[in-house]
Amino acid sequence: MRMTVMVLALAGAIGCDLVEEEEDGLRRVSTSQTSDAQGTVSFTFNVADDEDAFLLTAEVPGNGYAVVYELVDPDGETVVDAEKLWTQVTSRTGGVYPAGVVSVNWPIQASDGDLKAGRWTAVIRTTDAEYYYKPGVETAIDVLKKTDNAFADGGLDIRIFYAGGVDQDPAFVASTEAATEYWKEMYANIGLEADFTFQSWQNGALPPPGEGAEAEYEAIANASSLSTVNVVIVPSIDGYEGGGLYGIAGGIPGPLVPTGNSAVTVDALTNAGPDMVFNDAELQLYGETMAHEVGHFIGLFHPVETDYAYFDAVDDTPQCNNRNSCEADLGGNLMFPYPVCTFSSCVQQDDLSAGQGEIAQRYAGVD
Amino acid sequence: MWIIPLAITMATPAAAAEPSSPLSDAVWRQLSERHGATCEAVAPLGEPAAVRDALIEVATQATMPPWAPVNAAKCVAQLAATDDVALAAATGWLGDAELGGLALAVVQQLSALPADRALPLATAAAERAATDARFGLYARPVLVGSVHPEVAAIGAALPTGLPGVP
Repeated sequence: MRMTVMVLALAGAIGCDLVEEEEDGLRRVSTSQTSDAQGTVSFTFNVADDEDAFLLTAEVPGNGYAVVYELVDPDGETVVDAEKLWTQVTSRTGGVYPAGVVSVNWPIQASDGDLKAGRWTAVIRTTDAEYYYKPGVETAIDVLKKTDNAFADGGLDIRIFYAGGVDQDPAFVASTEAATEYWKEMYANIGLEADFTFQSWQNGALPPPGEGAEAEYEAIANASSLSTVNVVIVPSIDGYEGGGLYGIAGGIPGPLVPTGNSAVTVDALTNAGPDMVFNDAELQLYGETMAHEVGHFIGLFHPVETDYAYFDAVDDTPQCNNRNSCEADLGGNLMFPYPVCTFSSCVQQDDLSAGQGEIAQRYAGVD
Repeated sequence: MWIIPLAITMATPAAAAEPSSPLSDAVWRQLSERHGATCEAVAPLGEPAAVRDALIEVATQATMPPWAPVNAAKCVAQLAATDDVALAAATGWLGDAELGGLALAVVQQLSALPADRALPLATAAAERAATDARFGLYARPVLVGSVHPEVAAIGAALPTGLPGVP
């Protein structure tokens, strides 16, 4: 892992030291602070003229939660206001919803404008498991800043980890690599070049990111570079044998710094179907599943949720209000919440809109 | 000369184009979502026996999305704790060479079953693993990790890895 310490001990807002380093092409500001009596951590960090987007991540230990409560730009404008976002039917960032690890990428989309240089303030609130604000919680905060304003095209490094014996199964390995070819084509449609590397990982008994294997996921993230999105292929997602989970992202957006949420996990066996052998249609869908989950990780929400009442905040993914109209309008979109199928075939879900591309291109891991 | 066609029992029924009933459709749709569909979510959709039959239909007749039949099989296997029809279906999948994915889905549920229901299924899984090394690769660690010591012992006796794969 390449790391160059650029600046040490920049003054933080409340007297804590911020450390700024350059690592894998990203400028990283890190600090750890304890929430005050109101369960609040407030800190400031600088954005330089040549920096174009940042990914803020807050992590609290144990069974506590954090939310990115406010993000205030150098002009004093609150650009992320959790209280306001909680009341809206459109989703902009998952960082405003309580979790052990939360991230916000800014700017989120083109309508947010260019990243403003100057002094930014982030307000993190820490809560208990029942979402009551909790004081005295040690909170690790990282800001990753990228210097790349080419938001029409970019590259994303993706490391596929074969865990739990999948690497011993040549059929699964070949199928996964074939599925990444579909995936590449989907991302290419929004100017995103996906570059894949592959690695074996011994332990395969993994729950979803953020749900009990924090050290394992941190180790996985430490095994790749800081700007890489990690995809862990397991035989079955641990703890979900009763159905319901075929792939899951560690956040929307997900964190790049090593945390228990710094991965996407995909269940290989359920994607292979009843005969455990991928046919062409299943390979396409497997590629879509991985691309869908990494789509979440780089900031994309479902264009509509399955209650047909909540939506993403993208202008060119139309809002719809029932199954038929949503399937007609959005059923071919990669981020649709379910594949549109008959018992024996599914429509291809490989579309990504220009607006979705704007979000993906601004993710800090895209260079 | 007349050729008399022989009756052939298909190991794997041809996929049906559509669900046979609104309940089957509802079960299949629940299990087709990318996130969040569980056996618990399926259970309230109808009477237990009807839901079981719908799950068996989805497991054996649906092929897409691929996780729908696999997860229907997991739900059927859970029902095998108390339901003999479900137990018979799960046992049949373990012996069907064309249904390795459903067979593994059954194996993944063994710890959720009482030992007396899990043990015959584990024995059937071990028999399959003896001739289906790829199935054995994934079944063995699940069996070894079983909460039932007898099932874990069956798993421990299976060979590790795939033949010829370092």
